[in-house]
This record gives sequence, C-alpha cells and structure tokens, in this order.
Amino acid sequence: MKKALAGTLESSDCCVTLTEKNLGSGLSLTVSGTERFMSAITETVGDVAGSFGISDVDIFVQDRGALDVVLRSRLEAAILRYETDEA
Amino acid sequence: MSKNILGREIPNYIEGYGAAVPYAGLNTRRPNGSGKIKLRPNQRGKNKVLKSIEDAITASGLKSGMTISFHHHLRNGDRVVNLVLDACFRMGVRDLTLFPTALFEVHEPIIEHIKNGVVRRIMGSVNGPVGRMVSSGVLPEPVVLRSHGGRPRAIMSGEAPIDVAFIAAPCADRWGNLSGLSGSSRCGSLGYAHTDALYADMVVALTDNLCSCLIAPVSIPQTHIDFLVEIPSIGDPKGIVSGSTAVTRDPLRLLIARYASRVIEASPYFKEGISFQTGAGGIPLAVTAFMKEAMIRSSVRGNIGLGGITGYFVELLKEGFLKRLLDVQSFDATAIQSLCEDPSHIEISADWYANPWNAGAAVDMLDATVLGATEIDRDFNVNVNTESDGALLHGIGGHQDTAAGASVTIIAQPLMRGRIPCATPRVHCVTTPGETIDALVTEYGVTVNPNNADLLERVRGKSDLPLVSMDELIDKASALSGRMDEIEQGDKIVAVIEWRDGSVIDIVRSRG
Amino acid sequence: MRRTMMYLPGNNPNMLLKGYLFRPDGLIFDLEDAVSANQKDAARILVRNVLSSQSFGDCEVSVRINALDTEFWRDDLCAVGAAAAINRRVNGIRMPKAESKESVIALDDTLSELEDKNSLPQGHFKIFCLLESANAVWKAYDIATASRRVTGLTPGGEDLAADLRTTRSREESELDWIRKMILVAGRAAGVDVLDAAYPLIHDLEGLKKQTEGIRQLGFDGKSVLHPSQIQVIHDVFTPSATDIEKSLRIVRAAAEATKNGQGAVAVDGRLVDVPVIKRAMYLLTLAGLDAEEAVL
Repeated sequence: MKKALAGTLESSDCCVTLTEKNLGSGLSLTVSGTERFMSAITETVGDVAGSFGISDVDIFVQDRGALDVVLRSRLEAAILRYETDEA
Repeated sequence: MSKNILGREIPNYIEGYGAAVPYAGLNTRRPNGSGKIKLRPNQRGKNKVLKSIEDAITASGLKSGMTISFHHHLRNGDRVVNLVLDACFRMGVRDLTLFPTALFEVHEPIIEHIKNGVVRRIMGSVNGPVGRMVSSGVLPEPVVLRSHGGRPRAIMSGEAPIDVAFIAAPCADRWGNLSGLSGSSRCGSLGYAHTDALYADMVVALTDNLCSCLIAPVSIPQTHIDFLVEIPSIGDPKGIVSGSTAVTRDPLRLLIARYASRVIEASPYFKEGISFQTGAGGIPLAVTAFMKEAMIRSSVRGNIGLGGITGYFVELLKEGFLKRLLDVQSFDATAIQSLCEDPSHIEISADWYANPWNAGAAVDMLDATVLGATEIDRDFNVNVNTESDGALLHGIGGHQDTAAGASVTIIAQPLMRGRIPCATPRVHCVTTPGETIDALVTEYGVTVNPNNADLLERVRGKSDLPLVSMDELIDKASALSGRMDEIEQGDKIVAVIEWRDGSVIDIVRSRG
Repeated sequence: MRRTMMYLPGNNPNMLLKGYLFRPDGLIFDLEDAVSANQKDAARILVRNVLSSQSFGDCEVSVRINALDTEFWRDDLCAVGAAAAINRRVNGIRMPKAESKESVIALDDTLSELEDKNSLPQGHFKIFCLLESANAVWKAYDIATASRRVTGLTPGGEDLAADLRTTRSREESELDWIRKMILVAGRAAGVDVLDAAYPLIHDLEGLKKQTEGIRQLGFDGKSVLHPSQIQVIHDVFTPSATDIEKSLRIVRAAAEATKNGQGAVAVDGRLVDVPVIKRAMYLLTLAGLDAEEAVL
C-alpha cells in the first residue's frame, strides 16, 4: 500500500501523511492539533489535492501551528513523494 | 442587559452572582460596606491543636453551603485543598463555595468533588482540566474571577465573606503563629493568606512542621488562628518551587524582551529611584536581565522591586540595583532564603500589594511593569483569562492591579503562538482595560497606545525600536493566521470577571 | 551593507518565516548543508513557497543552492527562479564549492536561462562564491572575475581546513593567510569579501574578537548561524564616535570643495583624495547616517 509523508512535528510545522485507499473511494482528511483552523485547513487540502489531481488517498495532517504556506508546502512535498513511490 | 464602557454586554442581574455593576472606568465603584473582623470569646486554656482535619472541620462549625478559602503559596505542590475537600466528602459536607487565591494542575481532583456535589461554586481561577470542565457549563453558578487586589477588597468590604479559612503553614507553633520561612514545605511569603486570616469567621491552620518553641519571625500571628492541625505533609517541595523562573533562551523571546527593556529606558521613568515589577515567566525575567544591563550602562539605581519575587530580583537587591523588595509571593529557593535573611526583603499581604480601597497599595508605587497576555485588541484591551478556543485558562493574578498602578505598563508577548495571533480586532473577553496599557511589544517591534502621546514620541526617535501601529499588527497577524473558525458559544454564563473594584468588566459564556 | 548574512535552515518553517525579524543585513535560505539528502525535495518546496509569499523587511535575500556536482542544484535553481518571478527581492545565489571560473560561467549561463524563463531582467541574479578548497582560494581572482554576477567571496570553514590538511582551531590561525588572500583577490576584482560563520554559537566573546580581526583586515561582513551573533557583529562594524565625527568632516569638506569648484579637498590641513572620501561616506552608512543629509 502506497504511503508517503512530509514535514515534521516541530513547533510551527505540520506532518502530512498520504495513504493509498481503494480506487474510487475519493479523498478523506483527518486533522489533529488545532481546532480553530479546521475550515482553513480543509480548504487548503482540497485546493492543493485538486491542483495536483490526486484522489483515492487518505490525508492525515498533524498540525503544530503551521501557517498556510507551510501546510501547502508539506502537502506538495508529500504528494510528490507519493507519486514517485513505487510501493 | 447593558453594555459597559468597553462595549461588553453585561446582564444587570447574573444568576448565581447577583446584581452586576457594569465597568465604567478605573474607579467605577466607591468603597462600600465593611466586613467584620470577628471577635472571639476569651481563649485562655484552650488547646488549639487538633488531631485531624475532620476534627478541625467539626470544631470550625463548617456546614454544607458555606464558603471555604485557601491560599496558593504551595503552588503545584499543594496537598491541602485536596485533603480538605476529601475530608468534607467523607463527612457529608457539600454545596461548598471554594474560594482559593488560585488553583493549579495538582487540584484536578476538584473535578470529582464537583461531580459528587462537595463543590458547588468556585470563586477563583480555574485552569487545565478544571477550566475546561467549568467552560462546558457544568457548575450551577458562574465562577467569579478577581485580581490579587480585588480579592482582599471583596473580603474586607463584606462582599465575599469567608466561613472557614484553611491556611497551609510550612512553619507553626501550638499557639497558632504561622510563617512560610522554614520547614520542608517552605514557601517564603504567605502574603495571600493574611486577609483571609483576619476576616474569616473561623481560621484553621494546617502544618507539617509544628515547632515546640514560639516561631520567629511570625508572618500571621496567633490572634487570628482558631485551630491547628498537624499533618504528615502539606505539600511537595518539587511542586512548590515554581516552574517558570528561568530566563528564556529562545532568540525570538529574547528579542521581545530586549525591545521591552528599551521601551522602559525610553520612558521618562528610567531614572534614579525607578521601581518596577516583572512577572515570572521567560520573557519578563529576560527583561529584568536587560534592565540590569541598562541600569549599569546609565548608572541608574532603582528603588523598589515588587511582586512575585524570583532569584533575579534578589540579585538586583544584593548588588545594589534595588533598595527594597516587596514580596507577596516567593517563587524560588533564592527568594525564600533572602526573605529569611535580608531586612530589605519585606513580606507583604495581598491587601498591601494591590487592594484598590486602602490607604495606599504597592502597585501604585510602580514606575514600570511588564506583563503577558493571551489576546490584545485594537483598543489595547487585554485578555488573560481564556485560551483562543474560549476555554478558561488563567486567573487574573495581579494583572489588573499592576496595569492600573504602574506609570508604564508593557505587554510583552509573541504576536503569533503557532498559527494563533495574540493581536485581534476584538478580544474574546476583557480582563484588563486598554486605558491602562501603554505599549505592546512583540517580535515585530513596539506598538504604543495612542493615548500615550509622550511615550510614542520618545520611542519614535529610536533607530533600534521598530514602531508598528496596532492596525498594522492586527492585519499582519490576520494575514499570517488566515481564517479562524468562530468559537461556538452557549448562552450560559460560566464566569464573571470582576474589575479590581468589584464592577463587572466582562462575562464568559459556555463553550460548545 | 552586508555586515551580517544569516543562514536559515531550509527545512525549518519557524526560522524561514521569522529570521528576518532579527534584522540581519541579509538572509541565506539554505538548501545545502542545513538540509539532509532525503529532505532536499521538501525543503526546496518550502523555501520556494516562503520566498514567493512572505516579506523579509529590509534584508537582502539569497539562497544557498547545492553544489554543481550534485543532482540537486538544477531543481534548486528552478525553485528560486519561480520564487523570484513573484518576489523580485529574491536575487542572491550562494554557490558552494566554487572551484573554477568554468563552474561560475556554467552557473551564470543557467541563471541567464532562468531569468528568460521567468521574465526577469538579465543580470537579476547575483552570485556569492564560497571558496572551500585550497584550489579555489588559489583561483579566487579568476573566480571573482568569471562573471559580472559575482558580488561576493567567502572562505569556507570546515571544508577548507580539511583540505589544507589541518583542523579548525579556536583562533583559526590556519585560516589567517586564506582570509588575507581572499581579501586581496576580492578587492582586486571589485567584489565584497564576507567571512565564514563563527561556529561556537554561545561564545560571543570569541565571536567579537574574530570579527574585530576580520574588520581590521578589511572584510565587509560575516555569515551568521544564530540570531544572538547579529548584534555582536553589528556593534563591531559600527564606527566609533570619533570615526563618525572625522568622517562627517571629510564628507562636508568634500561637498564644500565641490560647491566652490575646487578640485582638491583638505581636512585638518591635509589633502584627502577620492578613496578616502568614499571610505568616509561608507563609514557614515555603517553608522546608520545618510551621507547626503550629513552634509546639510
């Protein structure tokens, strides 16, 4: 099963883990860490996943107070690694 | 319902609290009423020392529905609150109003006593798990938050009478003289307990160090103590010494501390005889260190150091940078030792420290004070009581009092904690009003309150102090954090925040 | 001014976003030594996005890419180019292990392509060369003059000592001659000369001593590893009151002479020529004064 992660659990960072799901099952998102940014995080994940055309993955975001630019970067890095992973 | 002058909606009558006087300025209410110091029939021949807490509860006449008080000088090492509540539970005493000067994580067992009905109401800070529980609306009556100065005021005016005060005493004798200066649970000053000892109907001291000889020196004299119980341990020394007495090493916090110190230097008060208070905590302690450097550079010596006293202030006293220390709470072993040895290091009560209704409180002697904040808004109103998610977090402490008393009040705080900004268009709740705040110092520089035009001019000329307006700061913070979800609020009022004079500066409603 | 240039580890969001608040003269977003091989991709994306979307006060912004003998440098440059297209303040490339004028020319050519691709003006990117071997130091002048983009030379620290077959000592006497050689080469080539970072972060006394030494040699500044080093270095580079006063007199005398149509400028009874006047103006800049305003 394909899996990739990017980022760290250091303060102001986040760790993004992508795990393969069954074909056609769509995108699922779990967030741990901050309560007040659920909407913003959900929107950013949808935005970045959409622009990379990625689907049928579970995205797990462990947030340590990452700003949007950091979340976007970690998402992109995780997606990049996911797509080059031969598992 | 009406709005107080800060635009916060305050009901005219609050269930479980009473009539609310809306905050209308620094001296909204005038002194009113008077609590009584109870006279006792002659005590000659009485043995005050009882065998157990249960015996003391019986002897004091504590009944369900009464108010009991505690001090927090044993901080996170305290055992007394939990022991007394456990004993009340065993004896079927319930529906009590708990009136501590502050609570810590070690007091988490209060949650059980709320659930089993021993504790019905809390007048004092609630944080951690207790705070979250209270924030969800579980207590029938709202928590009442008062500052270190507002609490003795309320007791002395009769607004907050105490039926039984339980005083943890690291050092005691059988006649009832108490102090915090020696014993394995020593804590230094017992400043927060003085008013309770004077005005409570009954006073029970608990000690793990009953001396055979009359103790010396005496902090609270025998004339106020009705009963004494000797127990194996009143507190854990590891928890008594505060966890927050180290200067920060984080470069960003040091930057903020440096800016704050430079603002004090730029103010008209940085001259011979300056008196100041800095809270305990990484940034304020670093400010103390930078101020020492500045005092050396400018050959300035200070007058009074006030507050919660740490080893850093003791160092300033010993090296001649300060003449006197006024100590309402001793934070570490160095402070305790100094209080024992140095006549210039003086123990003061909370009343002396910060009561707005006495003939002169120590906070009014302050030239400068450096404080923290969870949130601050466009009007410079400060919130120290709730977290960004609306949960009750901290007590007021001396925040309102020092801000009102000091000539220059500086809030020194990182603008961003992770993704959460501290500068916001409107604070979730107001603890301290903007008119007492002179400047906010963050990693982005100095934001001077426009109501202090003189300070603004003085800071403007300094090339090493970046000036940023509050609007710029709020915009910057909001651009960095992005959209924050609204806090869901219920209708139930879970906390009433009093200003130091007993008017109501804000209320907190339940979360979720 | 390039008194201080602070390295920001490319995979550390906190430092990338907040480094500028410590107000060094320049920032170096580091994709090389501060980032482990298996995080180069993530760091590159993070740095690209931070550079594109944030502001950095008055700091000069540069990126240390990976060396030209690695598999990473081309992707690094793509990322920098994309960032610079959005944020014109991104204009410095710090080139590790600059060994020869050929490698500088290769980098120059790639930068020209990058400027085309991203609609940036030709010559937008400047190059700071890190000289990290004996060979590189020997060729310092050739490297510095290999391209008009070269704007600064810096000696390597650890790598250089190893190449000299010695170890880095506390007083760094082994690097003494290296510094002087690079200084001369840099001046001859007309580029800035910036010293390596002082690795003992908590030894601010040692940093001060070293900085005083290199300032006396004529260096323009120093790399920084930790914010606490910035103030120490700035203080060393800040001219004394006497120096400021003397420079003011020189600059005023020069302005007076120009006004009166006189060719020669005299201060304290001695003739001062153009290099001295220029040095006086630079000193006033270091002191945070505007030379033109000072004249009035």
